[in-house]
Amino acid sequence: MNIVQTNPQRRTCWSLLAVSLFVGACSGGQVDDETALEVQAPVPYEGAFRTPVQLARRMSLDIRGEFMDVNEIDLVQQDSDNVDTLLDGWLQEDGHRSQLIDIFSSMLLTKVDEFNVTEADFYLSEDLAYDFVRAIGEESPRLMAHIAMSNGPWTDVVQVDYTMANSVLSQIWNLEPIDIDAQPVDSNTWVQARYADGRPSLGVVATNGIWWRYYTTPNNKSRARAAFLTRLLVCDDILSTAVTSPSSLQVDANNIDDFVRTDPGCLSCHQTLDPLAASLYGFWQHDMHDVVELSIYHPEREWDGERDLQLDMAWYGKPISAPAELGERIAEDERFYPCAVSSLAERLWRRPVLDIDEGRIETIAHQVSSENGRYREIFKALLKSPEYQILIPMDSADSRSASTAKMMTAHQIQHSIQELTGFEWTDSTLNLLDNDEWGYRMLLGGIDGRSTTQWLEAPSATRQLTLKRLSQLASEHVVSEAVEMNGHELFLNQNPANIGAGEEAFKDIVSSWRLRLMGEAPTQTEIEILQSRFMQAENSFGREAAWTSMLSVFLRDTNTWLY
Amino acid sequence: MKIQMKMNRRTFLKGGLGLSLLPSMTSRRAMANEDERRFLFVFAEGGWDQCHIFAPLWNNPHIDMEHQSSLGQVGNIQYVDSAIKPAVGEFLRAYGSRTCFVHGIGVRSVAHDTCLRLIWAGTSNDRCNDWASIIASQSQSEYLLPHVVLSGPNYSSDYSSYVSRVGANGQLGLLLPPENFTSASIDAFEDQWLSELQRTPDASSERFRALQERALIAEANLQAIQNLDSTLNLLDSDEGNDLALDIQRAIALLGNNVSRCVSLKHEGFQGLGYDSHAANDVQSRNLQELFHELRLALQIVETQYPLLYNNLTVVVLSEMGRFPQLNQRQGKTHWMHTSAMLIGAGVQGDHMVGAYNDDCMSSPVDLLTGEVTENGVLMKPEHLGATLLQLADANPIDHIQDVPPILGAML
Repeated sequence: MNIVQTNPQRRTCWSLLAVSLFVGACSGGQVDDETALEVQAPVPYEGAFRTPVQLARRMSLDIRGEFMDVNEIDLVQQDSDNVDTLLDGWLQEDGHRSQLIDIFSSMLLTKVDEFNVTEADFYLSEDLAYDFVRAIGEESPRLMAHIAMSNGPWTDVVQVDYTMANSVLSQIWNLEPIDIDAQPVDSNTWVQARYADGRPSLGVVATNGIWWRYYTTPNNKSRARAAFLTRLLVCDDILSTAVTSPSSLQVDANNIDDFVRTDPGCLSCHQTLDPLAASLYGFWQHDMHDVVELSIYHPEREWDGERDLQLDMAWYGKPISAPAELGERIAEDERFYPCAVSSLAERLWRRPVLDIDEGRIETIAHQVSSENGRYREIFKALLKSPEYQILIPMDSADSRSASTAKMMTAHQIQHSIQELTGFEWTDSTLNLLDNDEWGYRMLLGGIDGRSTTQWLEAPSATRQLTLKRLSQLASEHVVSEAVEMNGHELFLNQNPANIGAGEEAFKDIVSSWRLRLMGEAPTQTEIEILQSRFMQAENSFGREAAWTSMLSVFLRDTNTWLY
Repeated sequence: MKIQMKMNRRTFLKGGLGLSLLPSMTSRRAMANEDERRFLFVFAEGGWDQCHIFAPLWNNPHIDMEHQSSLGQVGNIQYVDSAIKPAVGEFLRAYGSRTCFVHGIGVRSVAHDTCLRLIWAGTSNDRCNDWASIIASQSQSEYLLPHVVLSGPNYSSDYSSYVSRVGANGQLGLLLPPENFTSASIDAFEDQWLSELQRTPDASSERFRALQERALIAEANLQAIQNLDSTLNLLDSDEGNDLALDIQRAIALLGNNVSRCVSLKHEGFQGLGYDSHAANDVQSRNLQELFHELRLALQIVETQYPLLYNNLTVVVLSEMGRFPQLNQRQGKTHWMHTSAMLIGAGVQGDHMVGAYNDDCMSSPVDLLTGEVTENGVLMKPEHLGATLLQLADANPIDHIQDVPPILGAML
């Protein structure tokens, strides 16, 4: 099994399972359902833990991409048990959905800036160019986020008969809202919808969003698509397996399929890839630039794969009698839950999952899958793990200590600043922090789905510059609004134009900022330094500019975006 | 709030980042040691066809060579020549004495994403660091932007703080001038305020302190970059393709000691790329454009940046090769054997390392001489990486710790 990878050059096996399972999984063969799973205890991890406020701050940012408000901090300060109550509430919020979409996007890599067809191919206005790519890119992660927030088991992600759609997708694809009265009115409104083209109930596997990103060619025969599925759903990264050269060059386009079925250098991967690829031919497009070919499912082609590849459909050796069975086979796979836990752990711990983590991953996977199977429980279990909660490990050389400080992702920065200030950095309909063609997503540390596939892990000059400009614009926006509206929640509902450094309200406001953004109240000395600097700014640039600068500096402070 | 930010690359170059092609007379130099070797990475995106330049294997029924091609030779370097790409010969006649072809690197995959990581970083692992980022991170000098990615892939899990992106349309140029966002005086005031405000919590992990330190360095460099930008001449050119412009910007960054490594990609003739599953002939046009621009670039460096000319190593690579036979669409699929070119400082010029066998696969090589030998080594991307790190005086990282460099490619 290939869940935990420390040495990518060899396929690491799931050493904690019974020997028979171990052998089967490592050879890429069928997993024996009857084999008992032996769950090994996690390796102890000790050290100084975060305070309740520090922990709640971290959880709030990870769950919903937002800083806590002062009332929430107050609750935690009153009683640390309130963290659990808050956590349950946050897991229901829209902010959590937004975070999940970002997390799943980092696994799917569907939020690219370009597909094989454009809005013009659907006779849509050029003004919808961004909405078009974003809608397609978000379909699959939105469906995953929807299921993750539901009460159903995570196996639904490969078995439900619906997807998520907004106004753009409803226009370009043959989608029918499940609730006929819940038509998506705009690109920001997403509803459950079904494809009306006879596609099987395969959850995310049946979404156009992934197959537009991972298209196939006549030579590839859906193999790249198959490799994407094994990596996403059971963490088997077949593409990273070393390929040996064919034993000879006596091969041409006419006999290459025979060749990959028989040549030992090819067989190790293709015996898994090809039977799975054969089950994906309903999604086959004869022309990758044809909107009809790309948009609809082709039930009549479901069996073309078996003919084309000359083998039967299967999932790791388990036969599939029809593509509709694929979801069930995936859900039955012993690696399905460990892979879900491992993939999320990597993002919440913000480091690779290591051999030492196997016990933790397996314990959580076993516990969740044997209870209700909900993704929410995976999320909670990881948040409660010492790997997540420890602030300073007893052994500073412990390989898990990379999780002790994390940088906010581009999405977290964008979302949290928008929540705080109401500022959204846009150009017409284009979200400049969610685009790389004209925007700043990668410059801020985000993922473009192609050339950058990992969140930035340490600050760079361009990231700091982008953060600086975002902070300046957002601060200017909220100060202007607070002055114009005679108050804003960030200014404790007061007008900053009326508040100078000597006022009591000044101390209250900067204290609340410090508490919300950094999780700690300022000392008296720190307040005095802020007052002094503020007065300097006020004398030089005016009061509004002084407030703008102070907020901008707070937003840029490392103690704000490290957590 | 809406801020109009759209502009094309050329508009940006005229008014944005403003890193001049010419050496700046007034620029504030970074604290860079001008003797330290610099690197320009040029990436041929999509997988170039070795049968169009590197693998002279005519008269083999299993290999489809470039149409109407013949053997070209300049000094000791042999190549596939054709009338459609005279720039290859022109380049070699001008700079062949500083060029080494490294043939037959096995990338052990045929998937773009995997091959990209392999050729850039020597591993298929997602979390990895490319050669340029490693080299930048191990500089003995302080560079304002140690590794600039003008375009193309970048892998820098551990060294991301050394990497700066410019953006697909030069967005960095829009972010740099404070006037686009506030006044210069407020901008500077805020920077000073921030540096005073930053504090390290009493209870913080080593990881926290390391990240904070990196942020402070980045912030400090940022201010210097803004100052540097305002002292450089603006590039005033509407001519040339994206590759030419990127190369010019790279030279400015390297020549003005702003960066130690710059990486960029060549998207091919008219952006058609090298991934020629159909109409493989585009490879010839791609190579013509690539070699033409490389020659011009080296001419500029040679004449205008003599110091850089002596210290610059250009690395030209592609993530894979192409299957030797044409398919029904006159294209070629992927192939796990490829070549790379090393040019300039530290490189054994007028030399070829390795070769392709009759099946267009890598031949074993004596790494010491570069000669093909039965008892030699089949080269992998890790060998290329070890070579680059040695050229850069950088320490080998974990997964290539024991991989020897290709000494035959080095002076």
